[in-house]
Amino acid sequence: MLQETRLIMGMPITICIAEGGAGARSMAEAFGYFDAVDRRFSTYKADSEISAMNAGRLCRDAISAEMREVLALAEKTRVDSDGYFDIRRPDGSLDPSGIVKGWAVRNAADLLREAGHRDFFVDAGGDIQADGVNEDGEEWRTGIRNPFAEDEIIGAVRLSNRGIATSGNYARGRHIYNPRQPGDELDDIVSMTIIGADVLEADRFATAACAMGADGIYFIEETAGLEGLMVNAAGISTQTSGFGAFEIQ
Amino acid sequence: MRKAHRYSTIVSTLALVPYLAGTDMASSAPTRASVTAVPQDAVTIPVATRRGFADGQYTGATFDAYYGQVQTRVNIRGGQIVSIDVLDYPNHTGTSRYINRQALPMLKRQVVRAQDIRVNMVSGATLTSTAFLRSVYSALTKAGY
Repeated sequence: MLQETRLIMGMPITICIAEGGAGARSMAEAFGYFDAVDRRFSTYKADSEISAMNAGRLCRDAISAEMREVLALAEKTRVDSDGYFDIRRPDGSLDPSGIVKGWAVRNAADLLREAGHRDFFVDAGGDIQADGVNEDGEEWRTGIRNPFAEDEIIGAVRLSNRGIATSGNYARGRHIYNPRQPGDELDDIVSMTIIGADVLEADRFATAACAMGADGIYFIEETAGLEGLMVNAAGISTQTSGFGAFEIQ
Repeated sequence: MRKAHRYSTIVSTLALVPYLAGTDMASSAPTRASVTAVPQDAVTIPVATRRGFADGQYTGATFDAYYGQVQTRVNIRGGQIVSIDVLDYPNHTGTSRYINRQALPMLKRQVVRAQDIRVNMVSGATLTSTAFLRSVYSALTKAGY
């Protein structure tokens, strides 16, 4: 087994190839891909393509194929989510980071598949594509982080050839840490975990469903091919009817 | 839920602040640092237990996160961070409820509690929001960080 974590795009990115072996080169390529995505899409880098677009230094005809693809995905997600997901900022600029993560993980997973790997996962800040099986030949065992305690999990699911993503809404409540008022903002959603056909589907719907607040889980329940688990600020989880099929008891 | 209060999440968020502290705030968060090369304790403890902030309320600058504007206020008492308030957070323009809930099935609800299950990896909302960290950092700068 080969596993490595690097900090790219401000988050830990882990790649694990279960069969190990000749995976080192594939892994380096996949990490290199994340670096390239960061250079192009970071709104915090003045010389990124997205920064050039937002500064008006790049006309729409001159944008890259990658940027076009991401913008098209963002628009698709905006429509799919009834307008809840939107990369347009009030000042008119664009910030596609809400979709770039899942998109980049999916593409990195494609690179590994093209290199012949079958059993691996790619995890960018908790958005994961899991293919094949783990070192023990089991479907990948994926924990769901306790949104209130980073080092705990509140459950786990078995995944193979699927994606999972969790969107957090720590910024929705006014008091995100206030032990004296633990019952504050009871209706606020603190995390939304989505299992989808791939990590991109999971990511874009996790972001959108999280933005919908408590209604998000019903939106996921109604959307084919997705299962989800939502946790609110009171520490209550709500899961879609098909989520249990993935759970490890 | 015994350990499941909100402190840990924020502490781990703050654990990233030193990363930002060493960088030019106008540029990006550091990239390609090996996570394993940075002992978690070494990063976390100095911030979580740090004393010596000047007491008071310090409001950070507003930063743009993909879901909206984020602005934080850090409350310092006895030289320590006691809470972080989010002053400015996304307001979604859509006021209509997406679905009439009464028309839907009852979904399984339960109290979350820590589980002891062996896993290969974990999905969770990483508090990577650079916007959030920058706002906290700018507030802490005022508090003598």
